[in-house]
Amino acid sequence: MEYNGSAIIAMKGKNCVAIAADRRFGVQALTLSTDFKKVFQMNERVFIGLPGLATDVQTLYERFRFKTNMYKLREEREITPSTFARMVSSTLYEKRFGPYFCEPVIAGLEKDGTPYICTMDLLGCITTPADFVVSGTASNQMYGMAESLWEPDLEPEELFETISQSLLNAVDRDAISGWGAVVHVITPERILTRTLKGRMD
Amino acid sequence: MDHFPGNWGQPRSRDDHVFSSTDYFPGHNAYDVGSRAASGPAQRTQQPMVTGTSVLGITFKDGIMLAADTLASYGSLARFRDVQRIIKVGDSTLIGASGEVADFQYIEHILETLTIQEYDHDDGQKLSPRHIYEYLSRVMYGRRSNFNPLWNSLIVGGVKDGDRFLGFVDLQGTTYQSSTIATGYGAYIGQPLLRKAVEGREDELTEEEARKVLEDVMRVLFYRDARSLNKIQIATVTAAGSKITEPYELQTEWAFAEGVRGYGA
Amino acid sequence: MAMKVELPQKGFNFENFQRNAVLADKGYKAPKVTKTGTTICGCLYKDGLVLGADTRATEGPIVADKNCEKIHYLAPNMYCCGAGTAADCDHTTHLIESKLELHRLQTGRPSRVSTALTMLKQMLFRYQGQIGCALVLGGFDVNGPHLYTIYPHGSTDKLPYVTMGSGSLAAMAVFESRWRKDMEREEAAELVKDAISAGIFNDLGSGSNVDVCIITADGVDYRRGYDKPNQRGVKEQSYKFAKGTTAILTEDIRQFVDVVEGDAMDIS
Repeated sequence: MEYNGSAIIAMKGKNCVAIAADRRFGVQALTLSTDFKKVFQMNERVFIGLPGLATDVQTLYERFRFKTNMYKLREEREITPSTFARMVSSTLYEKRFGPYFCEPVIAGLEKDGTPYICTMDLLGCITTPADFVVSGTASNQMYGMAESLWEPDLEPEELFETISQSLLNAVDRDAISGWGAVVHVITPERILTRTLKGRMD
Repeated sequence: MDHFPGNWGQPRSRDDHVFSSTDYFPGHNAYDVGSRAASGPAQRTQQPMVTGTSVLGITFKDGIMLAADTLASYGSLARFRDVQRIIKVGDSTLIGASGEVADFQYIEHILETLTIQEYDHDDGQKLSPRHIYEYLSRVMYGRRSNFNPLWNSLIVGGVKDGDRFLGFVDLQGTTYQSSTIATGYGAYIGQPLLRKAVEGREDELTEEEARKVLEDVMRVLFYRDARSLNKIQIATVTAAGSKITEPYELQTEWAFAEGVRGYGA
Repeated sequence: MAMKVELPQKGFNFENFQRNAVLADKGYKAPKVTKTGTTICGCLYKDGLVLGADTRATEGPIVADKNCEKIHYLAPNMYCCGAGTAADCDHTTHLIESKLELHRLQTGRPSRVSTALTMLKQMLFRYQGQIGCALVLGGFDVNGPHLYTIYPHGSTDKLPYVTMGSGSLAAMAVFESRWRKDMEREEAAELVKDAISAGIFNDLGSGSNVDVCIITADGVDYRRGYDKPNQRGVKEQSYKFAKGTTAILTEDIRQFVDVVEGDAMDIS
């Protein structure tokens, strides 16, 4: 986890979810890019954030894109976040004795609009808390920030502020994550994507 | 290419196709730390030989009560079945020890020397439990700092001028005080039960209740600690003085075992 | 040229094993796995059995999940508590749950606990302890209530009261001092609750709440959050930020649109 550096966080709000990530791509202490995509939209209402080894981030994204496309073709409907989470879990557990170095975060809205967030360890053990999930090299810092700032039933704009401040202040205390941030807020009506102004060091 | 500044300038012991620094600096790199090579030709004993298992101590209304079994094991052999692991020091202090029995006998000896020296001062002062505790902590920490520990975990308990004292000191010099203390496996198996029974009620627990709590915990330890015995001693110290009971056997329940057959097939 | 879609092979995939070993050599270790430090236990009583578990999942020294579910469903009459590597417990119990359902459909009978036991132990033995599951399996079948422990290497024990996990010594201490044959239902549930609480308060790997599951001939009473001795305190104030606190570089809004399907295809 310490090779490329990353920070991903997702939070539940009132009938909405938000997922945010930093944008750095680096190799140990050398930063190579400040617009590296770590949060991917799998379908209208399912987002996955992939922190960890960058090569596994991209490999897993491609594999999940394939699997969700096949799902859509076979089932003739969109995959829901909880089902997608199980799919991700099985894909990771398949590599139990030679795992992908990635601890994904999934955020989305179920068919009836209920918010869903979950995270997994690198082997695919799903954790579904009621408030927020964090992952990446800055996870300890994000735990601290989110545990203090989160409260239930935040409106989308409030949720945006809370998740942004949790992420920005956490990555400032981690040398290998940060260099910009992107936040997606998903509500039943729209998806709001914003890039944040943060410290570029 | 190594992009981590922390690794720059270090010996390249991770490159396997170039030379390894172990060839040129044996005993001085990460692989040798903690092994024999690092500490030179002389070695000290690294493990205890004849050992005692858990000792328990609790605070009750009138003072302190300690409990220990009377077994000294030689590895997995129950070698000496009538060993006193709790001793009196003066009228007001009791010390119980688990770990190496030889080291405990040495501690007994140095405490006797200390007692004689204090007596020779002839100034009307007597060693209190806190004095003995402080002395033992200094000794244990000093020995550990010279890589020559006394391989014991000690419980020091006593009452002096109405002040009840119960403390723990071990081979590393770690010390703490609490109303319930347990060494060895007692810390895992006994402490949960002792804490439930004693915490919050130190000033209400009677001697009878305290004795019953300790007996129950010693019984559970006999069930679950493979290096224990059901022959125990209970030592009590109050304002009136200290006394250690003769060793006696605990009754145990094995009848339900008849219903246990096989392992599931 | 059409590409053939390869269906994934069954079972574990060892593709990344060599790459990970090389990375480890270079000092790049794998991230910590979620473990369930755990206190789990079970005991038989007059009418059946009671299973109990704490709800803390740890990732090294950090608490990954404050309220995870460690009592897994296997069959309508059987539940399994899991300790050890969390992913292994989850997936192994799901696998055996599926196998049991297929078995029930094939035999047309309710599952027996010894069936689940045999499936679990044979699988774990095959993997020589590499699958880190330590399980407490309990259920009520045609032969009455049964309680088993299963260790990661595949050994099993059939006992009237069992504990597993890092808090097992604390829980076993409580059982050894208070368990007796043919207890009443509430007494057994309280005993299990006290055993798990001993683990929660004395073991660092266990914490949060107590889940209890009572299994009898009549069915299962799954009490999630039977006891919650570690409720979080109420926050002094709200830490909401005013709108506009965070500086934004770019913004992109994508509205969802309702798509109405066109007319059905004319296939006359």
